[in-house]
Amino acid sequence: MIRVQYVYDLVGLILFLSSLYTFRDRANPRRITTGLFYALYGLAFILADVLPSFVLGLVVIAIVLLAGFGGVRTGSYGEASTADREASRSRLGNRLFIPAVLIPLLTVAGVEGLGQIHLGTASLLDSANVTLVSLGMAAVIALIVAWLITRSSPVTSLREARRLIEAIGWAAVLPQMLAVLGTLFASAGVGTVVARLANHVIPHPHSSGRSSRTAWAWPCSP
Amino acid sequence: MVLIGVLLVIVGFALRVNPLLVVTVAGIVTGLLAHESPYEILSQFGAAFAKDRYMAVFVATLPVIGLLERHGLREQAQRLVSRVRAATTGRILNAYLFIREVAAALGLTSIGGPAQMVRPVVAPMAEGAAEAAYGKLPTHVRDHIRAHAAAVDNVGLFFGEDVFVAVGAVLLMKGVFDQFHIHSTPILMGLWALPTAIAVFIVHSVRLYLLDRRLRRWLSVGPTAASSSPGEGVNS
Repeated sequence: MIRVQYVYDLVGLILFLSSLYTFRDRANPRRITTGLFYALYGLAFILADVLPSFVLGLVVIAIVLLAGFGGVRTGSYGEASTADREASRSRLGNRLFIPAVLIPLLTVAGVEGLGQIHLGTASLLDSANVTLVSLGMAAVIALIVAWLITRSSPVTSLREARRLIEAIGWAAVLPQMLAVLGTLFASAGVGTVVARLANHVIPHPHSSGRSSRTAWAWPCSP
Repeated sequence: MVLIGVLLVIVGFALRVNPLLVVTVAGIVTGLLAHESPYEILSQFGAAFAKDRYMAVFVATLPVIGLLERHGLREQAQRLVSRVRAATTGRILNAYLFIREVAAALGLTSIGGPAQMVRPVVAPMAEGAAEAAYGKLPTHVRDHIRAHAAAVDNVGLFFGEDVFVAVGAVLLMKGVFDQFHIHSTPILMGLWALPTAIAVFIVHSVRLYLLDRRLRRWLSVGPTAASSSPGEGVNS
C-alpha cells in the first residue's frame, strides 16, 4: 500500500535537504538558525509518528522559537537571470505547461482511478488519505517529466524548491500551528465556554425539554 | 478563564507580534489555565502537529514549480495571454473562478491551489493581460492583481466544495443536524449550497469587473499618475 507517510517523507526530505544548502548560504545573515529551522521542520515531518508526542512537541516549540525571534531569514538562491529564463522559455514554449498541468490532472486521476483499487485485502492507496497520496504521486511524476523536458538535474530542482520554500518562510508553518491551537482550545474547553456565553446572551426558543446546553458543546469535539 | 487564550491571540495579532509566537503562547497559556501539565500540553502540541501535517503537503509540488519557473513558466504564461486581445485581468480571473468553483462542486478540489496553479500560471496570466494593455505595472498594482488571483482560488474552492456531497464540511453539518434530531441528507445540503455558490459567482464576477475598471483608472492615465496613489490598492 502507498501510505500517506511516504508523502510526508518526501516533504520532509525536500525541507531537510534544502536546509543543507541554507547552512552554507553566506548571503543569509542568520544561516545557522534558518538552516536549523528548516532541518527541524523537515525531520518533524519524517519522524512525527516515530517520536513520542512530547518530544515532537519540544521540536515544535524549538521551530517556533527559531522563527519567532527573527532567526529565519533569506539568502541567495542563484536565480536564473532574465536572459537565461527568456532563452529557455523561447526554446521550450508551451511545453513548460505540461508538468504544471500534470499535477492537478494526475491527482484527480489518482483519486478517481486508483482510489478503489485493491491488492488482495489492502487498498493500493492509503484509503483515508487518497487525495494526499495522489497529490504526492502526481508531484513526483510531474517532477520526472519536468526533468526530461527541461533537461535539468534533480539538484537544480531541489535548489529551486529551496528558493520557493524560503520565499514563504516561517509562514509555511502557520496554518499547521493554528490547527494545533484549535486542538488545544478544544481540549481546554474554550468552545464550551463560548457556547455557554452565547446561550446566556441569545435567548433559546425551547426553554423546556431537552437542554440544549449540553448539545451546544459539540464544536469542541467534532 | 480559558478565554484568556483567545484574548492573547487578538492582542498579539493586533500588536503584530510574530504570529507563530502568539499562537504558541496562547496555546500554552490556555492549557495551563485548564490545569493541564506542561508534559500534557507539549504532548498535545506534538500530536496535533503530526495530525495536521497534511496542511503542508503543497511543499511536494515546489521542486516542479521552482524548476519550471527557472525555465520561464511565468514569462510563458504572460506571453500566451498577451496575444489574446480579449483577455483582461478581470476576465482571466473570472474564467479561473468558474473552473475552480465548478470543479470543486464536482468534488475535484485538487484542481488548482495557490502553490501549484495561482503563483506559476494564474497570477502571471492576470499580470500579463494588464501589462499587454497598460505597459509595465507599478509594484502596488502588481501586488493588487496577485492578491486577487489568490482570492479567486480561495473563493471558488470554498463555495464550490460545499455543493459536493462527500466533502468533509457537509458530512460535519450532517453530524451536527443528527445530534439535534433534525433530519437532512448530504444531497439536500449540497442542493441548498447551490444558491450560495451561484450568488458568490455573480458577486465575485462583479468584483472582478470592477477590478478591470479600477486598473483602467489607475493605469490608463500613465504610469506616473498611477504610481502616485499607492494607498488606493490597499483600501479597495
